[in-house]
Amino acid sequence: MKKIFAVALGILTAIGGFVDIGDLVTNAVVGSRFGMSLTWVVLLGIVGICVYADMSGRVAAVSGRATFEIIRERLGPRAGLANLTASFLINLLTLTAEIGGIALALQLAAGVGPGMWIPVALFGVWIVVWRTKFSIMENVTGLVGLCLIVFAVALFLLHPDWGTLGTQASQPWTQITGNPLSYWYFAVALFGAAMTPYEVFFFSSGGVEEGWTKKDLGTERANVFIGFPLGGMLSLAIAACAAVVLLPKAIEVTSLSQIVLPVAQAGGKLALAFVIVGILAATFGAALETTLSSGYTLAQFFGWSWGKFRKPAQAARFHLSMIICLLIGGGILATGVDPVAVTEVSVVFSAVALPLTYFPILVVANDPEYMGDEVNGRIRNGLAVFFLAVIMVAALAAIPLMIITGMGS
Amino acid sequence: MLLSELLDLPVRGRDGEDLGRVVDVRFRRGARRGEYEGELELIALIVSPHSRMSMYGYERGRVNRPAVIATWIAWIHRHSRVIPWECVQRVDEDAIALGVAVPVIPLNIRRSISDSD
Amino acid sequence: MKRATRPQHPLEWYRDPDGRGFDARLELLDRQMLDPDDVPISTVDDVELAGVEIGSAVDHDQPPTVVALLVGAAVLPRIFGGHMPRSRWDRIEWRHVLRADSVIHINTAADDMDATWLERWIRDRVIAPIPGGRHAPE
Repeated sequence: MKKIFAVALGILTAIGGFVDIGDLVTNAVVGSRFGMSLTWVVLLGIVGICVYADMSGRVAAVSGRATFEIIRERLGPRAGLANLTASFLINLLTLTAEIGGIALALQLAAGVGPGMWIPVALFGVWIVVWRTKFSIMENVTGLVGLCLIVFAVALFLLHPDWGTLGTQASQPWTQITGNPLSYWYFAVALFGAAMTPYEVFFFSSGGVEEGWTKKDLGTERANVFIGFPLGGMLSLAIAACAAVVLLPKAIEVTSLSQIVLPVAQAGGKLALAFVIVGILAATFGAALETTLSSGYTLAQFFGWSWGKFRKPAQAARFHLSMIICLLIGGGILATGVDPVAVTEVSVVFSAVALPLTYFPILVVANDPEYMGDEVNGRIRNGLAVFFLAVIMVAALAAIPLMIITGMGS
Repeated sequence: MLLSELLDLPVRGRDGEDLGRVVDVRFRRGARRGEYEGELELIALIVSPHSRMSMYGYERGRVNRPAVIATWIAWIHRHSRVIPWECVQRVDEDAIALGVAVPVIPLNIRRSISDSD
Repeated sequence: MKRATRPQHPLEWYRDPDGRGFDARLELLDRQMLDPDDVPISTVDDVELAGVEIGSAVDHDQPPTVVALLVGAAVLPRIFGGHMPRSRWDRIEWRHVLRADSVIHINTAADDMDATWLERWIRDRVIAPIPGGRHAPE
């Protein structure tokens, strides 16, 4: 019974924790401009992240090593450092976006800000990283994040024309108006938002934090293959709400208020309260994850002592680097830059960094020295290689598309 | 001397010909000393004529999946060979010079060793 | 002093030396080092060899051996080039190595080694003064 409870908790946490500010903003923007015609990208991204999260989780459970520890062993320091630098900078950018997201959510709730909320957000994230147990942190933010289900509820309350939505999804070409390159730019951005690198780092390091062993593989698989897709459905719900309410009126998404507009319209103040709480939990959780990821990547690359399971005094460089990252993120936001803009840039660069993360994971998951006989089977390898190819295409196309389309305008 | 100073050095044969670059250094683990690891003795250099890249474990026969990547890395490191340390005459800052005609020992254990140079 | 000679063993031995082959870049360099309590010490940033020197002929009376693992700033020349002076090497001698498998197990506690001074410095100067730094998370 206890096992079922643990598995269920893991799944629910995975669902509630799947969406972050990148998914929120990108799906809403896409829904408001292209309707559901980019649904296939979301689905592709969900399958992709499932394949790779499962691999990195399995590596952590079987070998007891987290991803970045192995990246340096496999690539050597020069390529490994290039990998670290790129991953770390993009992680930092994502962290900044998430802190900004917390501030935006608080602004929605309180009506003032967001600038004044930034120090609050920074302190809040830091104190949780400093003092709270890993599992409590994950479970609380994940479960409260389930409030985002209100997007799905709102969708039903809006009585949309399901036929239209279905047509948009299955015949994407009907929705492309204007520059077709913009469509592909957003496809790449959406893909980057769904497959953000930090999720993989975090998932595998979290596996080591929670002391996963081979016995936990079943739980790990349930989290990934049930939790992530359901979480992905939430992304689609966000896009659908935007497609139903914002698209017909050509409302552009520039802030959180447009993103939650469909929910407020469908369910009034109560629904709005739920969605704000949900966004707060999701961005706070994501901020925790990206902060920890920046610590994990640095510490694992250089071989420092790391982990929330250790007292801060026993992982000094790990905690110091996270404090510095938070200060840098706060510093960037203090310049007054728009957090939504930061988010949009971070998802595109996430797409660029994907191959750096995923290639080493694929190599390690096939190495019997780390995996024993839990190496990838043929099907998993086939899928993984396919996605590696997709990832490479997206990574190469991202920056040119961003420049040519001027970030999708 | 540091291992990193040996890695990536070009290897020149007895007649000055370019045999490739050092991509790894092979040791033999000596007998364990009680609880401790034994000595590591340098026995050979792994030399690749075409690439300096790490092989990620693929070429040692340990990892061979996914097939696509394994094949690509095998192609990059084709003709990689093992050069016994005894054949090395001197180590300079910019190259390693061999002192004798060295037999071709392919790294890939599935390939047979021929006697010619 | 013994000069270069034809190889001494049947050639197959160089591919598989009594099952005791160990390729340093693949299996030693950049590996994680753990102390007896499984606390990470550092990665292996370089390896110090004795019995071979740059610029001189190789003496084949004795094979070169591994004498120490280098940590810390030793990683920088590997990325950016150049040489670090011997006096700055942070060394962990090979005689401290208990086992070298997927990680390198060292017999000395992380705190007791000179080479890990930076972690201790940050701990004592930066982290411990912050409230809660010495407590386990709850």
